[in-house]
Amino acid sequence: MKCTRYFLTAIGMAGLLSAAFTTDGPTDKATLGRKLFFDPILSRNRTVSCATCHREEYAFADTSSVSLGVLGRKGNRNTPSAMNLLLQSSFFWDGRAATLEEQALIPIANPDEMDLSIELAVKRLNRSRAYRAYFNEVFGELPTKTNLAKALAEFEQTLETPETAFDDWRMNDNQAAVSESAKRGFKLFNGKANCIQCHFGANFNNSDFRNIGLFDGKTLADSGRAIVTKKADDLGKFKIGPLRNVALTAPYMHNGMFPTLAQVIDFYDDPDKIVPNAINRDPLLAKPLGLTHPEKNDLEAFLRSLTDKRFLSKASGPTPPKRQ
Amino acid sequence: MKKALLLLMGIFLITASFTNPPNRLVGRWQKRLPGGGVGLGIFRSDSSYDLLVNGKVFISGKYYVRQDTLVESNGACRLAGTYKLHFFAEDSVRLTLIQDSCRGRREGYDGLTMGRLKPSKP
Repeated sequence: MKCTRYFLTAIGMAGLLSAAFTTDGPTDKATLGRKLFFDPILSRNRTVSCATCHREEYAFADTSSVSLGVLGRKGNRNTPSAMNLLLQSSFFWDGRAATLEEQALIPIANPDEMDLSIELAVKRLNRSRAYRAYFNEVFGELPTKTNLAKALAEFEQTLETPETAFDDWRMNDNQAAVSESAKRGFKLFNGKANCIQCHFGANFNNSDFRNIGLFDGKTLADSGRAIVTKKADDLGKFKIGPLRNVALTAPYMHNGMFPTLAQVIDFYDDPDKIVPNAINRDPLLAKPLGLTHPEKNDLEAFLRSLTDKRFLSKASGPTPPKRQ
Repeated sequence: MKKALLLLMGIFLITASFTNPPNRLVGRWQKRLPGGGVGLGIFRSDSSYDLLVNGKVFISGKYYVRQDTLVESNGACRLAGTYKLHFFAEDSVRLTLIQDSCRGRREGYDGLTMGRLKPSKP
């Protein structure tokens, strides 16, 4: 009897001890990636995480023209959405990363963003009992540069948003899914406004880099893709922006210079009016489009129909004023 | 009487030879993509079509079918592309290039094989 009691106590103690050391943390790469994405442990002073600039409620983008990194340091480009990256073939506005894994580590080491060398980041994770356990559980090994990148990339690959009113309309022939204005806007997008020339594909961007006329060498002097390729032809070219959830990701363009979608459409309608001395602007934008106010409203309605239903309550909040 | 019957039969045969057979492409077609993705083609009887990748609209446009030839146009390609349709029974089709100056479409369509999706039961 006494023996049984000791035995039961021992089992109980073992159970308690094992519970104390068991983490109910991530059990797969994507969930571990999500935890890392939201954890400021990956920044120099532990104040900035990936999610500081890639805010979930704004389709994993943010609301600033350029984001602030550690110690309030200002970046020089607008934060792109971290959603719908699965089919992308290059990353960042200048396409400097060719894979999601490569992309995932760059902001950690960037002095204007998280400012933590990858070596130090990996050391920090290895000093954390919790992360050691998580990585062991998920990868069967301790944190390394490679599995850190893999976990973040796996998480980002889960951020696909195919459930939009627009897709519902086209895929299910649900005529009530979008407004008549959005339908007219889609027709303009494919026709008179000519957006489809660059914005086509599952995320409304192909793999090209284009100079849309936001480089004049003076006030607008970000050379874009040329920084990576060192080719004069690439001066002022930037990655074509995906359009899913675009209603949530203001401000727009590589430098966040347009606060609203309406201003973006005004720019494309007549780029010279906004940036008169652009260098090397794409011939597709050589002539004004001549869109009327109602047509511009229709285009905007179409773009708003690309918002995934997970964000719908937010996107359907304040309706932008209509042009007169 | 016999002459009238022959005349009627003649008219029927001539009419039939100039009438297009029903558009066999109308419906939903699926393609498994490399990397685990799924492509879906929706070809409607009003000559509109959509191609989707993983549930996202990839491209939309117009098409028509004449006998075994598909002519397709969309906003991203300046000119229409022409492809030969090879139907294997009624439930699969392969496209082969006849003429298309649009590189992206040519790369996607030439040799493309799709399987017909059966309408789901209510």
